[in-house]
Amino acid sequence: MTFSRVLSKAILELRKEYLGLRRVEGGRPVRAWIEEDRVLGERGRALVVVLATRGCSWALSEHGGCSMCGYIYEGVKGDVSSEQIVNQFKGAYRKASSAKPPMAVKIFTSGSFLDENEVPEDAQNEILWFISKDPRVKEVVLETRPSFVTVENVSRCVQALKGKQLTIAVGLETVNDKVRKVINKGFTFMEFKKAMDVAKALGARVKVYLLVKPPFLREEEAIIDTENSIITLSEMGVDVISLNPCTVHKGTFVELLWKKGDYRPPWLWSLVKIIQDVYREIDTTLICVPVASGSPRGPHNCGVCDKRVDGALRKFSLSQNVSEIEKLSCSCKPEWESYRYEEMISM
Amino acid sequence: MIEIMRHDGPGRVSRLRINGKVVGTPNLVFPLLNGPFSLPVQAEIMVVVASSSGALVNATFREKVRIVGTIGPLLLDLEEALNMELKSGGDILMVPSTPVIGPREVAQQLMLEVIENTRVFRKLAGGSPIAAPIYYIPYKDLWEEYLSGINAAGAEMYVLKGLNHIIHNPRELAAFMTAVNKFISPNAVVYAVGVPPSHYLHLTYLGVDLFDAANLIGASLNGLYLFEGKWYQLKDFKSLPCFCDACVKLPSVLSEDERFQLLFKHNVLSALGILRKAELLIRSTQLREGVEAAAHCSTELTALLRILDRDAQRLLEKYTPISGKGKVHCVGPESYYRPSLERFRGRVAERYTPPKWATAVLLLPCSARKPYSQSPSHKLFRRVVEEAGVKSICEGIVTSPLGLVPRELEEVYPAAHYDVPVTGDWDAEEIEIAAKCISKYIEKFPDDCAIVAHLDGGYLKACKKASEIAGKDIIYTEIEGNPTSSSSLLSLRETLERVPSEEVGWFERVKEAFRSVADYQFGVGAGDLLVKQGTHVKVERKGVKRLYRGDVLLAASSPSTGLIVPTMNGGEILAKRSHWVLFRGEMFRGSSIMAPGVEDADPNIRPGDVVFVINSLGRLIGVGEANLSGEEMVEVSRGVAVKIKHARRGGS
Repeated sequence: MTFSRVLSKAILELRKEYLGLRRVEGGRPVRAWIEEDRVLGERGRALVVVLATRGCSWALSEHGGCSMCGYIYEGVKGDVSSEQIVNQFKGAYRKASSAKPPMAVKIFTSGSFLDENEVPEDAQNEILWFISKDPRVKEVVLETRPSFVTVENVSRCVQALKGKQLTIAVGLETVNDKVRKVINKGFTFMEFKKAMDVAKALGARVKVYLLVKPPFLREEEAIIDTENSIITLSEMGVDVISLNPCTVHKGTFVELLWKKGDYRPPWLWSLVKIIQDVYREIDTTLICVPVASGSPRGPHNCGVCDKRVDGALRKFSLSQNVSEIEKLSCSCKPEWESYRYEEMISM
Repeated sequence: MIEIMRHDGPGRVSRLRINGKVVGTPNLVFPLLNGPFSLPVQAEIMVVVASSSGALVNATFREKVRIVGTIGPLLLDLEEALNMELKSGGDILMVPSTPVIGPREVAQQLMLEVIENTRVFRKLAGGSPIAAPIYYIPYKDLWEEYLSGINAAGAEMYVLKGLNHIIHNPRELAAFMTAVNKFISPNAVVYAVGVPPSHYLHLTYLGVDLFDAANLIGASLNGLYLFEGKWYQLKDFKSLPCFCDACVKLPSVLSEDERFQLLFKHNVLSALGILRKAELLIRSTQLREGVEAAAHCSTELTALLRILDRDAQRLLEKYTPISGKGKVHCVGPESYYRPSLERFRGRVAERYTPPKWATAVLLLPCSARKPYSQSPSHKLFRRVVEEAGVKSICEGIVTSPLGLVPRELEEVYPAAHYDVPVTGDWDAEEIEIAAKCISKYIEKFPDDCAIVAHLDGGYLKACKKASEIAGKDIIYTEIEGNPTSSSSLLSLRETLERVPSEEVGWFERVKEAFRSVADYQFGVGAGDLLVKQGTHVKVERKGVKRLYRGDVLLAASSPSTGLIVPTMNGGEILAKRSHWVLFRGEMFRGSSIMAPGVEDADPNIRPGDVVFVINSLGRLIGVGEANLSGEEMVEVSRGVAVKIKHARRGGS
């Protein structure tokens, strides 16, 4: 049996238990909020909507989906109609009623917005058409797996948005195919490149999410992998790179490792180091907005400095000013240094 | 690479020779880090991580043995990794690995990948020593496949990883370490990472050669202070208990960085001290005693030792020297199942046979002075036996924790060497052990042999239990006060006067001791072969006994161990049955047989055993003392296997 097969089997085993716990009602989105964000190179606001769909096709397939992803459990058990999805979106849009321009709308499904099985084509069109009427919105970010980034899909979206900037966001996680394989991501760097070419050719921007410290990588290796990914992607002309420090979701393979003491989410210091190391070598927007930082399940340092470092990373993400993270220090920093070294030997 | 010098249990003192550098084990592997970490002069071995952000140390620390590792195969292919490690000046190159973690099937795939990568890396590295990772995995049924697979890949060093998961689980730790010993060649160095200093002695006892100091960094950063193998808060000391140069400076230190530096230095040196102690203990065959003493510091370590004695007795015994230096201290229950004692009890039960002339058995209490016959009490008993005129009597000495020592074996290690705290009180376990030993002993005598017990207290309890187990009647003398009181001795005499007796000469009895010791050493029947008709024994000054056939010396006893060393002539009689070592050539040179010269050896050979060296033509060419166990001397490729005592002179 190949490694991918056994990994899929292990993930499916976990899914079995947790997929049953999903909600059945498809009237409300998973989450929606307004946040400060960079909009086409300047500071603005973003409306983030996480739609509740039947869930990521990859996660629902016989491959079980990605080893760190538990978003699938927030979706809906059974199909969600086009009408329901559009209503979810319109309901969420009210949160943006008082937002000032420039504004971006970021739509996540925790799967692929462009996947017809998740979001039927008519619903996709109606949502984009709805946004196109709001003059405050400059940019629309759609998250999808690269297999759905077809000429047909992208040009349809571009048309529906009537001149507003489309950004295709892909959770590439790493440029390294071997590492992506142990994440069980199910696509290759080549497939991403093709998708990027399609998007770029049709005028869309490309945003990439990188997973900092996937399972099976040690802290030191994770730093090297992410730095390497950032440099490679920047050279390729990716527009925005977003660093996602891995968090431990319930019901995931990563949680299994974490419970046995075989996984520790990355140190916030590692994120600071990555940005400092690569910042001068790239001209791509680099952002890092950690989730659940300071908790055992999220990226964390010693508990004393987490809030401060997390805040600095967020400030840097908005301002792109590296001085925000340059003067950070804490007594736990030597511990992080020794952890990186010790883990290389002990793991 | 490894040359084993001495054993105590699987624990060993050895020398590693790498690229012209020589270092001893057990030893501590020091970390080399960027920043405020410095390497103490005492460091002999260090581990370096070569990565794009790690230190390259090619130019520095050339005199130290350098173990070099790098990032895993997910990021770097094996050939690039090898080059990176070589460029960093690695003496020992670590096989890059993806951690073997996850549920069973995932871990199994990763494990197979580690084995395969080790094979490939072995080829790529050519003659350079490599270090392969052994991850502890909680799936017992995969251990054999993993360990034997990676052993077959032939690394010079194995790095035990993930022991931190089971360090507080004595059952699992004992089982895993037993498996490692079973499947990993003794020719490889074992380097354990993530082991706290509290466990150093125990894991040394289980065959770990190297420990890493990297896990002392975290503790030092947290203000922990290592003292006598335990962690304390530095701030809890009003004044420090150690006077190393770091500790002398510590109280006056101001900056946090400097404080950490000094604390780390004290901690690594303190950890190194434990390993130096381990080395000393192995050299003096007292590691087991040290392990028992250390076990009392924690319930976990005590449990670990008890589980090992119960489940891994064969492993422990295999490497336990047949004799040791100096006294054997048995201080408590942790000593009861010590391998050297278990072996003695087992051999008495299996190999001892009473002389044909025996008409009576006398069970006596042990004495503080050893051998027992030298003690005042036993001299009194001896006189009573002689006055009673019973010549054909065998004597068995009841004792704890050895159980029962036949008089013939009283000089054999550890019978003449053990020391116990004497209180006169026996616990239930001691009584149980002794009862079993007594019953096995008295069962060996024919039914018409009278069994007399001159015992009281715990001795008597054990004896009564033995009588029940063996289903044999025992005549008890009347003890008043203690066994040496005049009325007790009178009772003994009156009892002995009534037991059947036959005439047996004094030399006959001494020869009997020779026969019993030969059986004890070489197995049942060896003694009969050696003391056949026409032989006689001479006792010399200092108690050395020599066995002659006519004018030909066959064997002599060693007064310090009580064991016998046959001459070449004696060896001719015994060599073919056991304790043979097959030499690859016709004749060796010098005074020892080196391990590469050993073609095969009797697996029953233990370190310290007398062995018979046979050449490729099937002729005995030497009698010597084994330095290693039989299986081990076949496996290892360096070092002394046998120290020769007698050799064939004047060619073959």
